[in-house]
Amino acid sequence: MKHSLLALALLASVAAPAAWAATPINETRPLDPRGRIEIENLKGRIQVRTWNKPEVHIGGSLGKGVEKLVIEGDEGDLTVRVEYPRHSGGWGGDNKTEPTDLILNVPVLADLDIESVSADVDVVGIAGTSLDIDSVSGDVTVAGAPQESSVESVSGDLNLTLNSREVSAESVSGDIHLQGRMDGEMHVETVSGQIDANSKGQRLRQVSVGTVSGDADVRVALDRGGNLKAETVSGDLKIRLPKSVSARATGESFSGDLSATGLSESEIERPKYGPGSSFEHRYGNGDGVIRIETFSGDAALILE
Amino acid sequence: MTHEHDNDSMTASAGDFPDSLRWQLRSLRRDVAPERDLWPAIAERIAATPQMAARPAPAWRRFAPLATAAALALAIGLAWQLRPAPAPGPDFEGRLLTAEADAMTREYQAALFELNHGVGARAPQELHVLDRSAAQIRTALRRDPDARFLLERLQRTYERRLELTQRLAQPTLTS
Repeated sequence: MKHSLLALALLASVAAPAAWAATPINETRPLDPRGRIEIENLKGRIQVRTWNKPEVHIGGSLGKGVEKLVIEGDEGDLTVRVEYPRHSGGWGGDNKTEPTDLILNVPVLADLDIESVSADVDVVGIAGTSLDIDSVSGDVTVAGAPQESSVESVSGDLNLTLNSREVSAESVSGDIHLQGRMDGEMHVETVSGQIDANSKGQRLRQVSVGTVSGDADVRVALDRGGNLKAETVSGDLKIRLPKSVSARATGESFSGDLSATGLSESEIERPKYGPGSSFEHRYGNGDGVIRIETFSGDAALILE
Repeated sequence: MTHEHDNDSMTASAGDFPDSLRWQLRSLRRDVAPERDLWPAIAERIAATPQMAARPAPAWRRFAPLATAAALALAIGLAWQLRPAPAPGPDFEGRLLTAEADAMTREYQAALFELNHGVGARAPQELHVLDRSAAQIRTALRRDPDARFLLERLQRTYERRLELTQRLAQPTLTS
């Protein structure tokens, strides 16, 4: 029976509530090579590694006080979820439950969907169609080559090495370190976190960078006719592109300093009265579009 | 699903949608100006419309010049009354954006109130970061009311704040 271990664990926990301890996990389920797996853990750690077998192995240990480990679905779509007692609070801020360590091995081409609140997430090797990670305060580390990636956190830091066509990385106060061969679309956004992104020379069709007060240092290349948009309220922006870029660049700021390679101070327009400055400059044939906007942050467009 | 642009009608239909859903609907709306001037194409189509054949001259034709002059005077007078308003300057657009930001904030607060009912008073640290940055953007908007990108940033901040509140309000991870 699939859930025999689970049933045993449940019986044990019901029979001897005073003797709860971290329960080792050792479960295996079949999963199609391109199947989908969803993993949820509120607190502790989620580690995912990959292999070539059409199955998922779940190891690690369930923290003391956890209600149960739920594994449901079929070989096309599997869900692995750590359930906490009701009324433990949406945060698991209740100290009665201990962290749970989930250590999984999944098929290398699987689609991965991970949800965490404070659990740290560590994924290496995944190369499926999509990777989706949602964390609140847990840090997220990923090294892989999914076709599309979407990673979000609130205060956790994101350390992403992704060879992906489409990447979206968002945080509120966590920092984002993103690098990898990205050659389609890149979207990075924080509120107060720092952004450090590098497409390793790959040309992107769409780049969007946004912060409220965080700084961003972004090194990318633009595809022919590509589009780059960078915005901040009070953070500082550094947008680095190759000297060969062909784009029409515009910059606008209410009270920040604007600078761009090849632009003389006289080319920066300021209205006769009132604050604000802006520039417009054509690089190469002006094929693409670069648009930089800030309120009080400084922005530099650097061709190197 | 129809979505009226009149703010009054939004409040009138308050009973129809929960605020959180209205908030999500609002975020779907993007006002996009037409990329090019549409009038020349329209003018062409009007010119191409077949005109009615001229009818035989009626009996009052000898009064035509007087009538024409009067009609012309009337037409000019009307045209003057109906002249297009001067192109909106920065002040106008600035006021629009400020009004939109105010409306957005009210809707966000309503949606948040509704969601918070399930969560309880304590708002975790992370949510405060979002609230503080929303306040920062609103301050920036007051000083630079023409910056549309600030409005988008504000909307994005509110969206994340609501998504997060919703996610934490769910009795997550228990069946």
